[in-house]
Amino acid sequence: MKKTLMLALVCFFVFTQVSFAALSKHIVDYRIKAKLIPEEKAVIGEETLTWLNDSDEFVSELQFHLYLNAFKNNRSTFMKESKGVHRGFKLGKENWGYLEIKKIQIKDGPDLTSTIEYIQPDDGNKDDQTVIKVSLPESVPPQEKITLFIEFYSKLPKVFARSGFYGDFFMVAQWFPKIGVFWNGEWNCHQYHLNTEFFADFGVYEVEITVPEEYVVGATGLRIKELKNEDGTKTYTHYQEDIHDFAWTACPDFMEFREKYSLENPQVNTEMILLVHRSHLNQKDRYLSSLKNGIEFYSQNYGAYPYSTITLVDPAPKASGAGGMEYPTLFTSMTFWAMPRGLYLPEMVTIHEFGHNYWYGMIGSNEFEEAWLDEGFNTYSEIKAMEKYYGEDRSMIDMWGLKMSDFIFQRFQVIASGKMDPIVNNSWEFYSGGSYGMNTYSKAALMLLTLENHLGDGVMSRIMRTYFGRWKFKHPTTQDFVEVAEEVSGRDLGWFFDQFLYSPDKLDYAIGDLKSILVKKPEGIFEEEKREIEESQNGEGKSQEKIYRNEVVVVRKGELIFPQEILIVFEKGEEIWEKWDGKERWRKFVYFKPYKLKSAHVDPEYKVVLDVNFINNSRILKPKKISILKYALSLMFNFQSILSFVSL
Amino acid sequence: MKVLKSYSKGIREATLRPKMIFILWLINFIFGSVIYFLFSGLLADVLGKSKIAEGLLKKFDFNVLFELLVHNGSTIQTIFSVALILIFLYFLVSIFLYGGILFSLVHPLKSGDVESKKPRFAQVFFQGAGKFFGRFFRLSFYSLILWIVFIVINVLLNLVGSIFTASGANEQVAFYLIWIRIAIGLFLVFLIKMILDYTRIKIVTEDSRLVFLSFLKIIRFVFQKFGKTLALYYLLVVTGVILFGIFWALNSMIPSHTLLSIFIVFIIGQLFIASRGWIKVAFQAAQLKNWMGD
Repeated sequence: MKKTLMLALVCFFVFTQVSFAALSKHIVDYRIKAKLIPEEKAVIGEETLTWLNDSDEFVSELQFHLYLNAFKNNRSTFMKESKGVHRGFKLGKENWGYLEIKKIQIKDGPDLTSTIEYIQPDDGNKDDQTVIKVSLPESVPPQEKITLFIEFYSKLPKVFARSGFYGDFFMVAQWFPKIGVFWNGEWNCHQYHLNTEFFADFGVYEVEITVPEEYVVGATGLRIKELKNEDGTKTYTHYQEDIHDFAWTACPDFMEFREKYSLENPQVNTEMILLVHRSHLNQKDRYLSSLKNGIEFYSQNYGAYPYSTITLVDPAPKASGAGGMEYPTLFTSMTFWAMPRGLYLPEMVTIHEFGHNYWYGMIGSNEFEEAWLDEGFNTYSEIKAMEKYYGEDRSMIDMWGLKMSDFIFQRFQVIASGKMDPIVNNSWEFYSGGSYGMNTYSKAALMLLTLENHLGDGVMSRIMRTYFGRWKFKHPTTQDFVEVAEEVSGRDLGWFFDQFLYSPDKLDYAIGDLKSILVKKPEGIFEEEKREIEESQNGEGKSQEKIYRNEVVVVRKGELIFPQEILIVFEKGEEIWEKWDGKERWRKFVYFKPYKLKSAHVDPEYKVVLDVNFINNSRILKPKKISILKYALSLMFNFQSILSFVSL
Repeated sequence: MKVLKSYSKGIREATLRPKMIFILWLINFIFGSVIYFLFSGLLADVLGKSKIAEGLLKKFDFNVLFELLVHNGSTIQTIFSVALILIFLYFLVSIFLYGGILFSLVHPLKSGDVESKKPRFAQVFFQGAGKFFGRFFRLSFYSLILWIVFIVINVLLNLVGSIFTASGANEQVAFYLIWIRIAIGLFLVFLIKMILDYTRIKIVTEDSRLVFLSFLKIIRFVFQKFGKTLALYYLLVVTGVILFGIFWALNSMIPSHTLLSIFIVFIIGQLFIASRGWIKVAFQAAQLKNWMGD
């Protein structure tokens, strides 16, 4: 009774929120009934979808994603592109997955099932069935709604790419017929590719999930009802507004932990729900503590986390293909039982995937076409959060005396990469999975860090807050971010974004040459007038003091241009800071001094983190070789040790 | 008790032969020097003029390592190729040295007067090295049989392990299985090396040319005296591990930030390498004693 009363109160709270505090324009309204059939590894579903035509056009057809059909056979676009491997995980044979629409009809109207047509807007691959179009008998007028009733059957694949099962663990994601986005006067409904993620409209989801009663269930949104059925199953009803996807998970081996989380400034009140697999129970505290860090960091830096729940799912062992993935108010992390304490992988994945509730969940950018807007922003945020909570120089590894930061790891991806693609590109049109990952995650994050160092922390912080505040629960594009950045900073940043977002080139500035040459005393015949001019220019004067012509040549080795600061240090300790717009291929700085140069350093504070070579940023006139001796001797000793083991 | 006697005899014999240990260290040092010159050349070329090198003295920087790897990939690849060739050459040289070590150990043992052999050390050492190189080289080929068995056992262990971990439900089992497999793997490696040691001893003490037959007989011998041979071998292994522990402790106590401390660390490192030579001689001498005793 008490439970029912509580649920009634929750329902009241939820529905009053619907009426008074919608955060987004509700384009879609999904009411889904789903039943898990564990022995078939499948979900039987019924979906009632109400779609609002928010455009000025009459819409005569609807387009839907059937994402699970990516795993239907080896001819789908996803399988052709991936060859059955995603992030190192393989799809086993005879573990195909698919999504079959049994029936689609206008509610209380005609049956549209016969009008279903598979389309392939991206690559024309006729074997790909991840997108369908359904013709309507009458067009949907602007600002009018249409309600459809759909019966479907989702056969889950053995998990290797986000969705699927492993044993009795189920990650039910991209599992229902999902309407595309009618955007800029046309359907934006791309096929499921190896490198693409998702794009959908905001709205309301109410989903009833029926599973055998021994299963522990986690799902997007707030649980508003829990019902025990007579057939040995349980039905959980989840409800959430202002989201654009719905995922759920079920496994009898989940241990559920719930903990309230509150923050005063900004005000956050949410419930953390951790579903940790029994075999990873020792990782519970790591998960919860990093989730708290994530909520705090993102709320304080971008805006308060607005949802009433956040569910962290720990996939079962050997189901890591489901790990490290984001869905609204629910995400999967990853770990293993023997994860070393000093390897911050679970923390990094938890913070990253939680962060997607901002850059993807609330900022609903188009992941198909501009993946950097979620992955790049989120990797940038992740680097900063990891540094804050786990140490600037050890935010990724801190074990056995070895320390490495998340930033260094991301930078390595960039410096090791080729020049194949720009950051902004359709996700399926990148040269390779590696190029997609490097550009949309690492290079984009380094680009934002470079911008931050260029504009200053305060300005960048205001840019991020303004962008988030202005575009949350909408579909911003790259141009929208550029406009916010220019508006907040008060600067024209076209030169910056045009290069770094749309060019695959690299940035590399170096000290090309450094020399101090003793100026010879004047010898020979001079015209007196000319001689005087030279003296004043060269600073020779008439004293007997030695004068050196000190030359520093700074070169631009890469194609990308960025203004540079150069620190020149002389033997007597004098320091000169120079500025250079970095446009020419090289610039020479000359100083006549009674002492020699000591060193020169372009970008001495390493602010331009996109520079692919820090080693050549500086040069010393008289190098000390002691550190070279140290490392060469160390390598020699290690080699000698190997030899002695070979022969023992 | 016999094991301890053989062990102490081995340690004493090794300690009494500084020239032999010096030769072993020197050859190792020469091979190591090639890598030193190659790497110091690369580092001087890439880092020598950069200010970033100063920072490296106090703190290792992954940024520098990654840049070094990325921007000098082909040079590093070449150095690695050279290193692999050197490892192979050193393997051949070590076969050569085994003959010298054992021949030198057997001779004074036969005469019963270690001191009187001192002036003729180099002559005896290199005579033995040359004399037995061909036989020991053949033995290396025959040892492939044991290494194939080793691989087969590993594959079988892998299959057995995969049965236990197929469901994936218990990562702890998988974790401990990995360690068990490593332990079994190491045990087998030591066993094979021990068999090869005794085979070489048999060949030298009996001046036998029947390498394969000696090899087979020794396999039988080792399994007949399994406890004793194994105990002696592991006693020596533990001695090596203790030496490594001492080196590690000393090395980690000294922060190599100055030229003097770098030099001290280098000397400690070379002493450790020499100690590896010493333990190598001790292995041969102790097992020789064990063999002669039986």
